[in-house]
Amino acid sequence: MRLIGPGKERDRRDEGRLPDDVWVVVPCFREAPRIGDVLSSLLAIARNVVVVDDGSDDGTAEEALRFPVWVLRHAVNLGQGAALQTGLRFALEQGAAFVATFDGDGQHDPHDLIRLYRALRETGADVALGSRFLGRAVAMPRSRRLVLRAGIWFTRLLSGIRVTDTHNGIRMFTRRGAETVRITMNRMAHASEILDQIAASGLSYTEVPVTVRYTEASLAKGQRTRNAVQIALTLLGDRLAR
Amino acid sequence: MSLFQLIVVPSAAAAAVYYIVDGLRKRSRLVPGLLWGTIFAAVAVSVGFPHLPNMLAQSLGIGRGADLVLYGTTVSLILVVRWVYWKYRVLEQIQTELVRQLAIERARFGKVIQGDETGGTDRTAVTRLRKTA
Repeated sequence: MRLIGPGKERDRRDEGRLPDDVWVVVPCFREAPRIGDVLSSLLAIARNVVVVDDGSDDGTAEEALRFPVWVLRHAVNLGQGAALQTGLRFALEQGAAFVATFDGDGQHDPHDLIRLYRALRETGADVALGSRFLGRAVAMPRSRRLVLRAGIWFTRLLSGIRVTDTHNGIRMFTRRGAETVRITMNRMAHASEILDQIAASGLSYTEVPVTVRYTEASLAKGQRTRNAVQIALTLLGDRLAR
Repeated sequence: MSLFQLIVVPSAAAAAVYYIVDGLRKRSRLVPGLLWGTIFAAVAVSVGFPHLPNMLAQSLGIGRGADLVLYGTTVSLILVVRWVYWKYRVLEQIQTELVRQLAIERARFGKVIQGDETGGTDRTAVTRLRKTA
């Protein structure tokens, strides 16, 4: 694993746009009030954006269709993992050379995608993983920090992969990386599953400092502390049942 | 013979005969038929002749027949849970694949394209436009 970007440069915004062969997948569920702002900021740096509406009933897809983006809609709510895999497959079918994932709740900074892209280009890695613990986590509650830290150790124990942030929704794959990873955990355990598959398949990866901003909305919608136990049990159960 | 034995032994024996005969008649049901037939036969024998599980348990070094039944039930339950989980995962994957395929087939592009004032258009149309552009 190689680390890209010194900590002192965290606040420096990378200029420019992503090339046209980079596709950005945005999984959404009930994000109608926020998706417009997210897409506006994303489209400032990316041409190819795929919104995967995971069965929302609040008009998220209609809101997204106001922008020049692809909108895919799950007929029923399956979970973020399933939405990501749908977006990854679609982007690959369209000929993407790089595929990024980007949460639809507005907690990520689109400019971090450029950092991820540069990291892939500079290191030749297959996957660039965003890390809020190498970068910044703005207004993150202490309880969330503790849970995420526990998740890091749990993943280290289960998958043997040593990363500083295990459940960060911003990451970028090369085409090879996206083709290799196959998400089968439909719900929130997918983040650990991705790391698991990276470790098992021998894909190379690099961590990149990113910024995650917690807002009232993202905290209300995001993973609750009790979900962490559920994710751990799901992963353990699946491992035992194999 | 107790009332419990009077009810359970004939019922379990009848079920055993039914499943075994059914399994032997239809090749596709042979394995589950024999499996269920064996289970019900074991129930009938264990309830009808309680000393037999005790003898079997002692020969295996377990001690009591009740413990043998408990251990057997525990192992069976673990296997059943694993099988049910596996079936659940298979069904979940099938459902996910269906929903995913539908979503990809119905992908829409939100941008207003070449005078299309209605907003979204279907994927085929966009692909066609891109090819002709």
